[in-house]
Amino acid sequence: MKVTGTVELVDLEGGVWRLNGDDGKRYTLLGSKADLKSAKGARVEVEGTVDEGFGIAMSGPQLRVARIRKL
Amino acid sequence: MLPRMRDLLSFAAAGLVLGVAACSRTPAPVLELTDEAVPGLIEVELRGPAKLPIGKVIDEEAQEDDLYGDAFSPEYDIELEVEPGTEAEVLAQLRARPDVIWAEPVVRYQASWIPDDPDFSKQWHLKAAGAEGAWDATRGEGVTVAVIDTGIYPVDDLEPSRLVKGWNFVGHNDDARDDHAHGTHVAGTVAQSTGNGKGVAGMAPRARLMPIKVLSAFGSGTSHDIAEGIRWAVDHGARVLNLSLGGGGRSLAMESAVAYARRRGAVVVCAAGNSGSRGVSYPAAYRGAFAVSAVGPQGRLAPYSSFGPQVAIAAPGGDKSQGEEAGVLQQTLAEGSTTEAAFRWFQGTSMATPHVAGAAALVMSLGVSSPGAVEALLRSTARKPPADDPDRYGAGLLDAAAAVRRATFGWGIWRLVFAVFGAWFALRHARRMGQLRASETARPLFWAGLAAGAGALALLAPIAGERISMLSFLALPPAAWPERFLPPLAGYIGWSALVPIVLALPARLSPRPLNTAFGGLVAGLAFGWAGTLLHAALWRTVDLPWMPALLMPFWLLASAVIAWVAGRGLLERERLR
Repeated sequence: MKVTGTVELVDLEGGVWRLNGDDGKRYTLLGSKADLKSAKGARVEVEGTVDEGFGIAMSGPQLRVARIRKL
Repeated sequence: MLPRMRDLLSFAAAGLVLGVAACSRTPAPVLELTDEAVPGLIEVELRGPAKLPIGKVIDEEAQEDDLYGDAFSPEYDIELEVEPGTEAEVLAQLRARPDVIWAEPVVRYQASWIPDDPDFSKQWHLKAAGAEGAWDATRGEGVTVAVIDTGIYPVDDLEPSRLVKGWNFVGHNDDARDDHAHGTHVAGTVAQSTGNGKGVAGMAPRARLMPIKVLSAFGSGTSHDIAEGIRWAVDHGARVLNLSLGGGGRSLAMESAVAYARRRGAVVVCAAGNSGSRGVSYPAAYRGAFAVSAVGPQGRLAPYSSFGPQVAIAAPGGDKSQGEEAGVLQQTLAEGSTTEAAFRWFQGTSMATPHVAGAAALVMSLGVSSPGAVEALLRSTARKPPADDPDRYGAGLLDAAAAVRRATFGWGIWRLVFAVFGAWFALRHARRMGQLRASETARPLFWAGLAAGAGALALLAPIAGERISMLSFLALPPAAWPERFLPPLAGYIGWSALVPIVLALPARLSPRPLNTAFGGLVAGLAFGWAGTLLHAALWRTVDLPWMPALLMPFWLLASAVIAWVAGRGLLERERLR
């Protein structure tokens, strides 16, 4: 699935990558740190899979990044 | 000739010492105003009697101070009462006077052991969780805490011997080292090496840590791996499970793993979640989990913390909206590194959870082996939260010191009361039947045995138990010793009437009283043991392998009666009073 939104590094649990989606949801982004770093603060379109998986973020669904594109 | 010579020499030596003492005026050490200073009190030493223009003298005496004073005449020691808040000003004024030898604030000394880890002072969160007060009685000896997380990296402020074998469920091997930093930080809060003059401290520094890696380098994992990790940890001896992880989906595999852990005698401590809204994440929301919400330095719910009816207790998780140092400080992997260590400030309900897991380990090391009793103890001793809001704070703010005090001092008194009552009843009954005659040696030994059996030494544990660290097990009643030092099944040796019966047999079986002193000691021990067993039955503090939880109190109750009968039998035999 594709989600658009803004990438943010949240100071939680030592650092959690989050996509504040245009759909009003907050996704925890799981993906390469380099890609996420370069997209920090930018509006992006993320392609990947969403699940209610478990992890350290504990603040919304996880979005496993397959591709990330700056808008 | 010789004796006179010796007199002369000692006279000369004494003169020399006095002379040196009089000439060398070491600069007086200065105690500064700190949190421990008693407000409004100052102590001054003067060269001679003088009227001080400031403050009210509340105590005054002439005494010799051969360290800082004059070796030939006494000094005047005065305790002054001044207006609170003006101490610094008064101290400066006094120190400027030529007749003042020294002046310092009066400081309250506490029994607490204060570790020498240089950055311990920055760990407001450990103090808020009551770690300091708890350390005088226990530091978590004999308890294994499983950190089910991203793994644990053996950083240098984590003593290698504290780490036991774990498992990596992500890589399917036994290398459970951290590649993220989260798990190592959490492990640090549980059991960072403390009192080693290095870095920072942890809640239960002598507990063992079991690294269970279920989360990848992204900090994410599957319900399957987490459920497997929970079962593996319990099967390999972990008594406290720390799950600083969660998700929104309910997994039946994980739910049944939590129930399994609880049934096998483990406390399952879980993070409530970081949604900043209502809705506790899983596994914290499962039955059998002990859900922890996070508070900041003022004890108010942190803005990120999830909350809801499942929250059992609140603990410090940091609130960095108030600044970096309002986070939780531990040693972990440096940012972006998988080998280098760094001291880092984190915040999250993940950081609150290990404070509770550490407190659970402290309490369990005091012989409280039932997870239900551990949870009840932590809840009932929690401090009052800033708002009466159980959804946000559960039972209140974690206070490990209060929990430890109750498990040692509070419960020690109850055990002793039960033991004394049992002994009194037996003695009274026996006397009525005309069976007793006085015995001089047996009587004190009888009471000593009773106190030992009831674990009366635990009463001293909050004051000084850990000063004698090798003997920390003395804070436990003897009934809890086998499960501390032997495999879990050996718990049955202590939590039954076996020991009193075995000790009483030789005295009972012999045709004549074997040894009155020995008999008295054993009789007392049996009554003490009975008191301990009765307390454990009523408070449900004990959990034994294979014993259904419902049967446990009946087992303990029956054992208490048998221990009492064993003691009673010796009274008849040994003709004690």
